[in-house]
Amino acid sequence: MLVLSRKINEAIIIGDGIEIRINRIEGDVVKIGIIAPREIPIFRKEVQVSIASTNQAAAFKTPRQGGAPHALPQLPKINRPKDHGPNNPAMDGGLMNRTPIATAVKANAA
Amino acid sequence: MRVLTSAVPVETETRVTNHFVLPQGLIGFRDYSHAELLYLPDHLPFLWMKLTNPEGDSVHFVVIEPGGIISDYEPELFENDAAVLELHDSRDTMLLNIVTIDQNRPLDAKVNLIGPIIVNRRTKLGRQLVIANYSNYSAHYALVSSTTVAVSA
Repeated sequence: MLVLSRKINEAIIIGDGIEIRINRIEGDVVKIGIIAPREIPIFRKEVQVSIASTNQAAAFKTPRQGGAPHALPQLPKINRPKDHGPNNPAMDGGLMNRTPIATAVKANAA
Repeated sequence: MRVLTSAVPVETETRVTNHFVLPQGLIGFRDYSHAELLYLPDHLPFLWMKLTNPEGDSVHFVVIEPGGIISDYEPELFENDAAVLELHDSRDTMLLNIVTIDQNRPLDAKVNLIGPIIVNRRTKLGRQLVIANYSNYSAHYALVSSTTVAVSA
């Protein structure tokens, strides 16, 4: 790991267009300013750690040749306002545009 | 679409069109890049996502499509993620959220809303990513208490 010493208001450049600046130090809390292109994902590491641990907790590991988990969990019953039935996982052609992800996608298409 | 006819996912003659590829696997399951969506009619709206690695090991996850189930869920993607997945049209986008279910307490099921799996239906490529507006949502969203529930026996 590369370790650099920085004072307040000093910065580090990473690659093409990423700047990390030490804005403030209060006790054991460091305020870090980041300038980066919009397309670069930036998030706290805890977020990724929590997703990783969620994945571990959610996984049903299966034996090499077997198809299924040893015991399927009892799934809670959910009543949905509209039951879309078995078309729901519409990978085979159906357009199930029910998720409000349109805004994010629009930004990319623009 | 493959329909599971028993509690054990078995092969059927049904045309399988619900495969997709997760080139990076899931976070913590790096090599599990081959994905398949399965469902049991009784389990809907829950789906089974089966992931397989090159050695043939597999792991199952319970997932849901959040539309119509989780209200006010409006994930936004980082531009880089949308570009890598070549998502230009929301109709090409499939959104899957992983559900954590404790066998003994199924009503405590939690949904990971910050790290969904996004799949481009056209290219059949997907990835698990951190949504850009992650701070609005939880990785442990209580699924059941938040919806209209009919508790099954």
